[in-house]
Amino acid sequence: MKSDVVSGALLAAAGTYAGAKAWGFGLGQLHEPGAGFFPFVGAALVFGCGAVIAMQGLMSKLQAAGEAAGGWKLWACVATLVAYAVALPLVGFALSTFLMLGALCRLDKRTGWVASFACALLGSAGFWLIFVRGLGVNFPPSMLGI
Amino acid sequence: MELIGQLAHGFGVALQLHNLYLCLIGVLVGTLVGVLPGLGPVASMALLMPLTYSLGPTGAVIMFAGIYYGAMYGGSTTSILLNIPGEAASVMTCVDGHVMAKQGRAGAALGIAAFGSFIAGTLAIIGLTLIAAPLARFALKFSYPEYVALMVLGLMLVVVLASGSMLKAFAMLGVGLVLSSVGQDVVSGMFRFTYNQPTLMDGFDLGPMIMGLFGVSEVLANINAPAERVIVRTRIKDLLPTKEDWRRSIGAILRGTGLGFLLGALPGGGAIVSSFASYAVEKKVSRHPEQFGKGAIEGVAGPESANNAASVGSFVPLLTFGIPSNITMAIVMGALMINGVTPGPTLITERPELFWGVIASMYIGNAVLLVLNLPLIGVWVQVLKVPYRLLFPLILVFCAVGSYSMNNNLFDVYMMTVFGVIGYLMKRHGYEPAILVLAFVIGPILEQSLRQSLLLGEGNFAIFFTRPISATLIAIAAILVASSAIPAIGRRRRAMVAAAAESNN
Repeated sequence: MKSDVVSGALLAAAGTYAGAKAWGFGLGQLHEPGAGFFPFVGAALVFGCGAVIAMQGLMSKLQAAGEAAGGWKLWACVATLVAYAVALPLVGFALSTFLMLGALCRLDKRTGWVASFACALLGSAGFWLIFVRGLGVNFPPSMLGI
Repeated sequence: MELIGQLAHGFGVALQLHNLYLCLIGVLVGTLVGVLPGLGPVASMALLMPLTYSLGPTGAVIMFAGIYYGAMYGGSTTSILLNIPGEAASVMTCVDGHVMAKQGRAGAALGIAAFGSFIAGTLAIIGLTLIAAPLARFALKFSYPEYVALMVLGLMLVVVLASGSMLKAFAMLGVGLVLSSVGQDVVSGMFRFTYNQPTLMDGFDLGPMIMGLFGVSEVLANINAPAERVIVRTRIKDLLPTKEDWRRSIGAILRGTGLGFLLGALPGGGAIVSSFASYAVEKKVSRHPEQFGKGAIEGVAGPESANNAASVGSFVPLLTFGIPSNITMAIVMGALMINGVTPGPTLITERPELFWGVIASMYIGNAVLLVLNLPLIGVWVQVLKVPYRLLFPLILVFCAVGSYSMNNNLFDVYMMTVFGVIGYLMKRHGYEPAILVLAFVIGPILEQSLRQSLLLGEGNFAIFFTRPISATLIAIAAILVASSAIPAIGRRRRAMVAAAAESNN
């Protein structure tokens, strides 16, 4: 399959890179293996399997990889997670959690503004109770003083 | 007598209010995540990993054990009422359980699943109680080469039992081993793959990795799935199985218990394999195999008993050899290591309160599950009605906050997001993240044992083949791989020849 060619080639490339790095750490001798010995064995396995997967993919009939990956909602979720990590030290735990929950709820248009607001408010309050009050986690102080 | 004394000590630990509370939380959370499709025990244990810092090792394992066997209970509810497995080990329950529900026998199906799970769970815990201590003593005879062989056997079993391509499973094994070597080498002190990043000096954290690979990726995979679920419209009544139901089910429950415990205790085994094997066995031994798939109660009783027995059995290799037999146990092991406890044969002597406390808590948790599940079935049905569009934002935020809270480090949130995308892509292209994580957890122990073995054997690999235990284990591993790979290669070759012939025509 086409997707096997791509994933196999990626694995083979990653295995080659990791193997080369591991070689640089020093393989040592068999009676005294070096720091690179174990990762080299793992990298060789990744390279070998990746190369065979890619070759098998090439030799079999090329098929389309299926439907498009996930759609915009998937990447919106990923972007929201990254935005949360960026916003946390800027606006603090409570506001960033509230905003993230609200944004994620609104990804599905069936969740209206009121329901999203309620979910974000109750959810962020719940997380605050569990993590800040219950577990005493120290979140970064808000740079904006909120 | 000694055993009874040790078990009594365990009950003393398990009945402490703190541990009792954690056991209750564990089985409740387990049932909840079992009921909810798209959130299995692995993802939920990953989500709760940050909490284990404050619970201590005994409390953490008691809670995680409760989640694991609680999820086995909960999974059957969704399978029977929705025809969607709440978690992977309940797939077989859908086949006959849902048909029974459509026939108006949802109560009987739910009842036999709960009673079967209780009987299987209790018998399996008795099994664990009886064999854990002798097995731990036997494990003390193991040296580095035997450990290497046992870990190789465990990993090979996982690879062989992987649902997709064996090559892809081997590739994930390699990726896991490479990732496990990130950080400082304990022998030479050299930093490997750290790129001068202080956060990588101690290697990747298990928490963000599994939250990403299982929690985030699960959401990403389900985000476009239809959110509304169709629950069988039937009044759930008569949860107590009839005499006829018992007559037909008791053999299946006992066989499922034995099979599940055995397969769960084997490295590489677990609840999923056990439930499939049990269904196959029941169909084989039944006088009416034609009824399977059409609402045979044995088809519910067997797999449900097997997955519960397996969830208990999988604690055997972890508590005695210190080797996780599957991904769930790898997370339990991670929780122990986070709390500074390395499981192994000496656990029973060095931390008896943990060893026996966890076993005793399983008796309590199993009883609690039976008491909770049947009367609360209406509540679980209501939980099933919570739309996924309201659940997924909470899961994602829990992942993000949980990852951060493990080390108070934002880098972990980014790491988790990256692993989430990787996990999604892996699932999409048929690569199993569970093998990667298992190899990642076992990797450091395997590396150390391998290097020590080679040191002992003066660089000669013959050390693995001249010692009876390690030679036997490696031989079993080799036979397993060969027996699975050779037919696969043959099939592949035939398919390629056929494809080439077709293209020539």
